[in-house]
Amino acid sequence: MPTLSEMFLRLLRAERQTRAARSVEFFGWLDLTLGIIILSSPHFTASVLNLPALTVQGANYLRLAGLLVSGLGTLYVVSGRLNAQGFIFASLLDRPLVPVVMAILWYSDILPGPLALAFSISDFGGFLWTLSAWRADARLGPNDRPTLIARMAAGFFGFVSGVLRNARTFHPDGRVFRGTVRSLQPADPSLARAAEQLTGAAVLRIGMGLMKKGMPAWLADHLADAPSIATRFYTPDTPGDIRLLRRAGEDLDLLATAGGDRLWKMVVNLATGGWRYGLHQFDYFQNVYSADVPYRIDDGKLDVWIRLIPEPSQASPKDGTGREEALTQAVARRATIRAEAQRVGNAGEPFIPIAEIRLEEEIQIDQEALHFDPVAARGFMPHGFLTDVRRSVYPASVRHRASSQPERVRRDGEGIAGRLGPYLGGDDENSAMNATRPKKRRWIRAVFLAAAVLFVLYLAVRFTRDRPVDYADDEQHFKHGSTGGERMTGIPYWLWIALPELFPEYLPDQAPGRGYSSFGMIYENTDPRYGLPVGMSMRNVRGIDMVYLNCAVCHTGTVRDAPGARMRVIAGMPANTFDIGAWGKFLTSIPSDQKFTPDRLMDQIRVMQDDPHRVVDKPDLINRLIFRYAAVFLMRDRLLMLGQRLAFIDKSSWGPGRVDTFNAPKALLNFPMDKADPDELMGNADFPSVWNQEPRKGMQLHWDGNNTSVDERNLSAAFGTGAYPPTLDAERVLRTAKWLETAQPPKYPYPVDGALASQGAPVYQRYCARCHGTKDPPFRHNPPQADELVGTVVPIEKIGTDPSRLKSYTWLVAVNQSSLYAGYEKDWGFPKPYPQRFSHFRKTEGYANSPLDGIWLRAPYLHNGSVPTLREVLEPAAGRTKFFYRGNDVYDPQNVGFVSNVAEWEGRRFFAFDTSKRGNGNGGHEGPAYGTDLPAEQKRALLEYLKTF
Amino acid sequence: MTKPTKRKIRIAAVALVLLAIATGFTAWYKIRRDVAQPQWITSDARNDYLYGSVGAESTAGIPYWIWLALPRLFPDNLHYPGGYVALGLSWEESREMPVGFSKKTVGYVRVAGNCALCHARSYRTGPDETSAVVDAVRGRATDIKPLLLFFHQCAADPRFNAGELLSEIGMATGLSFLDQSIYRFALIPRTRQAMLNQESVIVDPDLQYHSRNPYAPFSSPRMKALEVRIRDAQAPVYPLPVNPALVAAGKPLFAQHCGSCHALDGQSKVIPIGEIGTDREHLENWTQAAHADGASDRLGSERIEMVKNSGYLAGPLNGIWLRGPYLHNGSVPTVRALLQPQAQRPRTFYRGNDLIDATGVGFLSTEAEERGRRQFVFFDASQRGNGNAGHLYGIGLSSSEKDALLEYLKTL
Repeated sequence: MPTLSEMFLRLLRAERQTRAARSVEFFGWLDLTLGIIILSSPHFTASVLNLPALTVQGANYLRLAGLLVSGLGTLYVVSGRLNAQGFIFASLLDRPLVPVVMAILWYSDILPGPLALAFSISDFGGFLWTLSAWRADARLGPNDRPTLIARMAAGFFGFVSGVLRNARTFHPDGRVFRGTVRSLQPADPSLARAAEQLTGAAVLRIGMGLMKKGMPAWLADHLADAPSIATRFYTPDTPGDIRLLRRAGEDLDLLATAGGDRLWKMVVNLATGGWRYGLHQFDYFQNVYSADVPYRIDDGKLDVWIRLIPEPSQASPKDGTGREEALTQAVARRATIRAEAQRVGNAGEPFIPIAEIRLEEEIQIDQEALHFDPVAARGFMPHGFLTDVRRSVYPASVRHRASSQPERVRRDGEGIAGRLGPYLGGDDENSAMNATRPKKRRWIRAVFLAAAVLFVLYLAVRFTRDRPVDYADDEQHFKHGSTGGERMTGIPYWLWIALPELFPEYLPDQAPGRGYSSFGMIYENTDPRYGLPVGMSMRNVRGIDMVYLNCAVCHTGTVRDAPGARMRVIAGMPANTFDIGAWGKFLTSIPSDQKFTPDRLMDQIRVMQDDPHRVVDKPDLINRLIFRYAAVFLMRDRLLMLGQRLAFIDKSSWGPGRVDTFNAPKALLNFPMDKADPDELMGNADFPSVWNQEPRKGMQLHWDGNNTSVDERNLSAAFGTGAYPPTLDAERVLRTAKWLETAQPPKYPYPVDGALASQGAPVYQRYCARCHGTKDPPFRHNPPQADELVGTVVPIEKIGTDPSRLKSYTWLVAVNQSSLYAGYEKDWGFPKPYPQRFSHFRKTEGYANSPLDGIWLRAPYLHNGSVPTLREVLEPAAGRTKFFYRGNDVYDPQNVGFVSNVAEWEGRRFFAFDTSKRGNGNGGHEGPAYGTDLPAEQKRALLEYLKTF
Repeated sequence: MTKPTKRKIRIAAVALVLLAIATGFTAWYKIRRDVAQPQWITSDARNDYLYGSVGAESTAGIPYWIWLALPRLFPDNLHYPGGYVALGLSWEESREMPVGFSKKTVGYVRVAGNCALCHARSYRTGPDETSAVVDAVRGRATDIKPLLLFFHQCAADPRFNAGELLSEIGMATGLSFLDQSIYRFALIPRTRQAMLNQESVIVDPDLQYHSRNPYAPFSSPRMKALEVRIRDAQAPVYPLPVNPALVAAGKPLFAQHCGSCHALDGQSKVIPIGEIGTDREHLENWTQAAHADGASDRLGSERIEMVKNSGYLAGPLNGIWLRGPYLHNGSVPTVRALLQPQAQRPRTFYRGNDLIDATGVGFLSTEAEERGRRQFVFFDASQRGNGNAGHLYGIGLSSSEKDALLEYLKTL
């Protein structure tokens, strides 16, 4: 029985593994890795396998399974490395059963399909490999292929030294000598027998490792270098016979290098100039030359390190010339070199002299004719890692050796490309292997390489993907086209549809299954759980389908003739039902909920992903991993950040159809709003309609008329859809802008009293037209009339409407907005005319009047939506409703506006609007000039006329 | 050596040289390439003064995107909303940056200060009016200490790192990978160091020296020209209505009581300290010894015209309505207060408001802050160097005479 330490050594070295043993070891490592992954991260495993989220107990069971798998892996690894035939055979009996067992487990719903399939493939594949390896072992005998690491190291050496340096690390030049060898008769019988084997003649090449290719002496002297002695031991055919060509199996080549008894020591020595392990660059005779690889001798009975020690010389040379001189003198006096051996395993054991080489004469030969191959011969069997490397690299080196001096000169002139060719040529170390396994292996390699390249390409394409969903129809583009906001602010589609299902308690009606419709978002011919509401666009960003808002979310509304009647979706009208404040609160509240975890969200997605109503493919493995390990956390961080920056705005005071427009840019600019004037914190404003933008160019836009540029106004609004300068999709925003230039409101669909309306026209002309322009576009006269005011600001003292919105827009915002889109200017090298840095924002002191196109759809009225119907706008403030409900889309043709006295319908509670609250004042826009004092029938006529706008 | 080897060496050498040239060109392009400012700045005198470069970018320039991101990333270092305005700077509507900052490409786009940073002034005629900016104002009109302190506080903050800054910058613009790397590995750490060490940031050594010794002439032609521009600048017309009758009454009073020193077309002259009696600190700051020592020369500038005077300069009073607070140390908030004996001049007040004080002539000085907009700088005349004594001229005038004189002064 071997001792335990011997077994550990064998485990460590894994020598003379059969092919079957290697295949078993490989699968052992695979199992071990798998087991450790399962053990350490069961949730990750579950997500890869697309299992439902694990309970704590489930995770622990999976951990136990991981422990078992890794234990099994360890068994395979150890048995494989120890060449345990019995175990390998057992695995051949055991593993083919796995697919059958897995099929049963899967069928009886104990194991999930993917897991069963994975185990089946890995175990049955492993079985097939081991089986074929076993048969190859039986057919081809022991496997002497160097290990993979050794082959890789050889490839690296070959590249660095052969291709890059064009040097011959393995075959240095030097001076060649003939010598004779005699045994020193060591006492140990094994050593004595080995020494006998060495006895005979020797050819030696003594030189410096780097001294080649005619390096100039002055340079050679300044480079750290190690002397080396290559010796060929052979039995001379005749006395004085010089063996230039090695006879395989008969002659022993032994390479020994100064500078350390291990390769790494020599490397350290060279790097440090010989300070550590003794390296004498200028004297061959002061160095100890070590073989650097262990040899098995005497039929493998003894394992020894071998070194050569030259007999010291009297000279003490100081440079390269002196060194060569000393060598010449040594040959002249027929100096000797002693070979010594030391048992492997104990560095403290003595080196025992075994043989002595006597230098007889120097011989002049073509360097190219003499090559040393340190392979087994004369009972000396090199082994170990370095030997493996040599076995990998020498055959190639041998094949590519120059056959003669002229050939070598030619090669020295070759460029790096010329050397790279043969190197990459691939007819590498195992030509013997290639002979027995013709082509097939290379073919497989090529396929693998191609697959890898394709996979990398696929990833590159996938992770640079930026592909919005486009619509042929302009109106559809307005409703669903992208502004680019998804690129940075987007929410993955799958998370978007999962949120209302997972967090119904945060919804206004607390009912899942209806998507976001309880916020008043409009679902047109689509399942609200899966479809996108009007105002949501979609874009595939880095392989993930992302959704986010676009313009239509605030500028598309609905009209119904009666409760429950079919809704008419009207693009360009204010989103009369959409409560963006509640929606924003929903999104910024849920990240703080303890349910907002990847596990819960992935679980929800898994429940939904196979539904036929889904509008995109279900998430693949990569996206599931991204969701689980990045997207959910990123989204949480972003939403929390957004929530924190917007926290100073009271979103619950908005209600459907309103937003605080200009406190948002303060959040974007991250003003310290806790230190702001409280007067500016409330800026609630009604969503405007967005038709007829062409004639609006040059008018003072926004409720307070703070900007005269339609483009800037558009881009400013686009911030709300997540379109920041770097993410803006200018092309698609322009398409929407272009469409809006001429987009028209729909005609009033209810009966109009034509006669009455025509009576209203002169009333309009007299009281309204000066400020609100003509009925039809372009709203202004051409040429402009002197007192034409449409699209200009009326001072607050005059208009008298609620000042909050005006106060919310400060001069400070105006000047700072001029730094938005900074860097997008022709002057500063930005090549495109659009977008351009903002430069049109101004602080005004009043509210801008605007054309009244489609006024019947723009209820409630005034900038803050404080007057529910058009009829009431024509009443003095005292006669206007003080308390009403917003958010209903049932039309009230009597009063021109939406029904505002109904609190709730089918579970949907409308927003209670109290005009006494801050920012909600319904005063102003009254008095004789505003027509609120007109007789009743003139008002009726005017109202009828306004329906036709 | 064989021929092919030689050729190889040559090819390698050429490749190396080309590589070095390409690297050098890229480095020059990204770090040192000097691009002239756009036409709207260089071709218009006012814009040139307010936004033109005085060459401080190459030594004291802040990388533009850092400059842009700082107020957005560190609002907690500002006392009010409004970005750089909260630090007391003026900003014209439609302009990309506040008055006194010049933006110029020297390799990368940089921001540095110019004359207008200190020597421009804004005024408002009413609390809700938009501020108007007057360029080329003599004397220190804007205190930039809060600005420099802001930069220092930002740099000392752990959030001043490439990750945070680039993420904020990423909301404003899309930098290329190369530019991002330059910011990440060079500009952001370098700027942070400069701000922390209070090296030349925004104002270069020349401007810093000038702020310590304002009468030392500049050496560069550009600065000399700007100096002349400030000297010759015409004051804007008083923007509020004036009473012509009072003005007419004030004119002789001015000639009688003020004209001898403050003649409108006259030269500035030195009034000995014993005569004028105002705070001595500033005068004594610049000693004869320092002058003789040639301290100025050692700073590398031509300062040959420097002299040691024995009092303070009295000059023409053009645009005096815009020049409050008054006296060389700004220790008297309004001209009306200056016409009072020292005991009746306010001992403490607030500087920095740009709302015109029509009765006092000067700026409103009684408010500590303007809610949500800016806070003003507390001034205590009893502190060293802040003395509000001296210049006891016209204090004996009657109240109606003072009204007339003040009305006349508005028109200068």
